[in-house]
Amino acid sequence: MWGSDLVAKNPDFYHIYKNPWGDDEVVCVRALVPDYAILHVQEADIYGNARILGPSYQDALMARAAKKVILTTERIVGTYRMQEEPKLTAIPHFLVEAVVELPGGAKPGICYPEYLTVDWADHKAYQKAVKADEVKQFADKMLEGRA
Amino acid sequence: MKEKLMSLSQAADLIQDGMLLALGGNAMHRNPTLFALELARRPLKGLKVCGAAPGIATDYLMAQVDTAYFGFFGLENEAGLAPQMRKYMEGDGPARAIEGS
Amino acid sequence: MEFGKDYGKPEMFATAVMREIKDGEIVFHGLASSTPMVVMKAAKALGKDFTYVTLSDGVDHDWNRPPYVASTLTENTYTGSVATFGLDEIFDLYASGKGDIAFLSCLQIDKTGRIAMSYVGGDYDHPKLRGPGGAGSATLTPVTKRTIIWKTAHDKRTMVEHVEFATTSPAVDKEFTLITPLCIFRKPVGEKLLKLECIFPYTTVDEVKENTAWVIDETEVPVMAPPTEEELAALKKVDPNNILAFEF
Repeated sequence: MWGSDLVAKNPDFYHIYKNPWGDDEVVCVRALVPDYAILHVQEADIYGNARILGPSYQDALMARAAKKVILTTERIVGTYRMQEEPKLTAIPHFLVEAVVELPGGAKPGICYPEYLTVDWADHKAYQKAVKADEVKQFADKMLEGRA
Repeated sequence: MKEKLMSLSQAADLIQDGMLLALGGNAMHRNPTLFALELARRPLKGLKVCGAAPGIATDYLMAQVDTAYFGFFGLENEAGLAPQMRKYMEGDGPARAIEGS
Repeated sequence: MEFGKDYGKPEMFATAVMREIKDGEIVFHGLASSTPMVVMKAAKALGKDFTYVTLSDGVDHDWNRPPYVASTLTENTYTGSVATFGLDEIFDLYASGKGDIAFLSCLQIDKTGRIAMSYVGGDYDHPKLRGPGGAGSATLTPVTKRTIIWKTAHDKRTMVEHVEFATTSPAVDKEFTLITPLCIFRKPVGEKLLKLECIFPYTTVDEVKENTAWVIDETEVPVMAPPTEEELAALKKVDPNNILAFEF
């Protein structure tokens, strides 16, 4: 972070300490502890063991940093899926508080390998809704018949 | 192991004013969008959000957010910048940006 | 190869970026980076033996699969990978000094290499344009051997006299390069200012000066050779949907 004006700008987030093992200094970043990590995955069982297909981004890290995890999932699978290759379970059940079966739960965005392109009509509707202060109406429309 | 299946609205009931939330995925990819929209239509306020690269789902919440911690907050290329993030951060917008990388 | 007939500015720009990549290097680009994505795929097609890491977790994905959208995430840079290596692992790798190149971009840059990614106009808390943020550039720039800023616009609004709030800025002990559609600026190890290193065949030092808000001291610099037939063929091969044009 040296060379960044962000460090001085946010003293409640960054702090410079003397390196206890040397003469130099180190920039420390405050740890964030989310109340919930909310993640959409392709496969979860009813207990909250979850597999992420394709890129996992920082989801596994966020699940570990947060107090609890809420999962939405493309589909519920049997626990045997996890037992086939435990290493592929990105999120273990004991971190998870809720599992919601929600196919298409990442739309109008992309969810590899299930749907690979943005739904542009819905995304444009959102951009319009932002301008018109109508995001709640947009949400209602997207969630019709879902709750 | 305990069974944890819930409906969307039951799970959304867990979220309360002022909480710090980390929404998964990246830009337009594998975001919990429908969950975020369920939150967006509720009267929640004072939320805080964080992530290395929060995307569209986090943007849906920005009207209810006072602080966003992020490395990159955008939707990428064809989808552009994050519209609500800009709306609530630019000028006298009430949301604070704390960049982490 | 003739400008305007065999190649245009996007191809020259891409070629200049491609020539930075050497065998054996570890090379990273981030998200919203369709231009370096196409360039790195083309460098692979040319047979350059470097390691490709990026945000989709994929290591050395199958470059034969052409990108069909400009997104640098998901299958464009994941399918056919030989391993996964996440962004947190990439940051650790670069922090330990093992990263050779990081391709980053900016909203604005000045002669000292100070980069604006946070905002343009106003101040940090009341920005006129709120940018997407550094996207790891503040983390990577101080620890990467060669940071390369790619910017597909070259004008006085982008190449400014002074960046007021630097999301990041170069370390003295690291090389730092700026590539634009007109030229290459480089800050060598041990120095503090960007120097005009070379210009592209279709421009002049005067044109570069007219479009740059900082003072350029160099008067005569080499002209980079135009793209070769092989370089153009590699770009075409990996990018049949012309994603390269997206940012021009």
